[in-house]
Amino acid sequence: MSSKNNVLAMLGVAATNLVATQTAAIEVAEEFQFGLRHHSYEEEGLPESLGGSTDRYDINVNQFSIISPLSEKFDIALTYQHEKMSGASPWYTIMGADEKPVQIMSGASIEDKRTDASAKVRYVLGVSSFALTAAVSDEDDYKSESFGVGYVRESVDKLSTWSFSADVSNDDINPVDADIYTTRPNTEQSKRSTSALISYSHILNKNTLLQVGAGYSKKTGFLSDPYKMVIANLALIGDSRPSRRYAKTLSSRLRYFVDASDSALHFDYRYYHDSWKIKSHTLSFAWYQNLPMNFQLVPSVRLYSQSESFFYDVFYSDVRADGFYSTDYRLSEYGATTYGLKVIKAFDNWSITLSADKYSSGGSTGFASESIENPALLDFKLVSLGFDLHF
Amino acid sequence: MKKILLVVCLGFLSGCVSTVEPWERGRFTKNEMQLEPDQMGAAFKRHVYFSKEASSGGTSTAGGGCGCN
Repeated sequence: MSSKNNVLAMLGVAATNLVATQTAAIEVAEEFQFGLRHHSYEEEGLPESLGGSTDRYDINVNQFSIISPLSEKFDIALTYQHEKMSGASPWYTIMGADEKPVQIMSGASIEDKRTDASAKVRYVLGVSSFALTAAVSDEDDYKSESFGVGYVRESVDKLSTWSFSADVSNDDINPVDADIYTTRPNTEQSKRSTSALISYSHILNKNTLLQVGAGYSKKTGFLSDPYKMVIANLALIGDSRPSRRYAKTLSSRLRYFVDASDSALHFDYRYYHDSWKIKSHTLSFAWYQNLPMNFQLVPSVRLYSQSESFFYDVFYSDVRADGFYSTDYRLSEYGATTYGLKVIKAFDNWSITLSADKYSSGGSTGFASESIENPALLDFKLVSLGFDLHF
Repeated sequence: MKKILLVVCLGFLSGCVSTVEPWERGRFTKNEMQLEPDQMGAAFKRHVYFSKEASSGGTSTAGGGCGCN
């Protein structure tokens, strides 16, 4: 190839990259995109339980997504998700022999369905975009409606991006079988959530992208779990939590492209702290390795540790002055590890994705050092299959 | 100690930052370099972790609740 042709070829590459970069920037969706996923989620059974079942939840989920341009300045994103779940759920703990807590599970397998849907309309104006989102979630005993706004602004040189978003959610809770179980509220309960998030991303160099963010959320109303119970002062009472919860997050996400191996490395970290005195650290790492024939292999690992809420206990020997009680394992001190592997095969205008994840938790995993581990701590497997189409 | 750590981090980041011309940004158009290459998978996992752990948020607003948490 002559030197003139080399220069033309380089300019061609540069122009292609410029166009592609602009495509990745704030622009209205140019293509119709359709995505479908089927998820199979399976919790590992408990080794022991008094009464009820040791089986826990199995959930099958079908998830759909559509993104479509509406005009030169508007696009729309629609999502729909349907879950079908069955299994038993942890109820309360008792103190067994040798001071070891034993989990009591719900008496029979629970069958439930959940449907959620969302619509997001986006308006693009120059280097900015504005978005409005509405979402609903519907179950037999729980209904939620949420509304959100978003604003994204890119710098003129397209090296950095500011994003702001905020939302509000109103939820109604109507526990089933409240006439049978007197610990459950027999009138409709409500919960209100608001949250806001700000993030800043910057292209540090030709291989590295960094995003940092800060979030705040506030929940008020009925924040207890109506189906969980606690033995306190020799009486079985309902799970009882404060009616307010404020949470802050700090997060960062780093993307680094390795030219030598044609792969991308993802590092994510989140710090979380809330008014129930729970602190957590979440560290994720993923390696996107490109392979011949448009295959991509993505091994990943996620490490999670949290401290316990100020009112949690695995078993209550004494009465609490504030009246808050919960033996929910999710409020205990523990750590968890997720190992994942994903395979993606891309074709001309569609791709297929298969992934598997294994989650295991323990009272002494990661930063956690719980002296008496909650017996309901969770292990699960998640297998997902899906495809994406664009035209 | 925190100030020293901050200075070290800023020093590290300033060493990483360089002017990136438009024709050098091709890597950022690759799907694997997006913050969320698989938005559907990421959204579902957020929902799972929101249901099974005490903490949530950080990369998106809270959205609606569900009976799972």
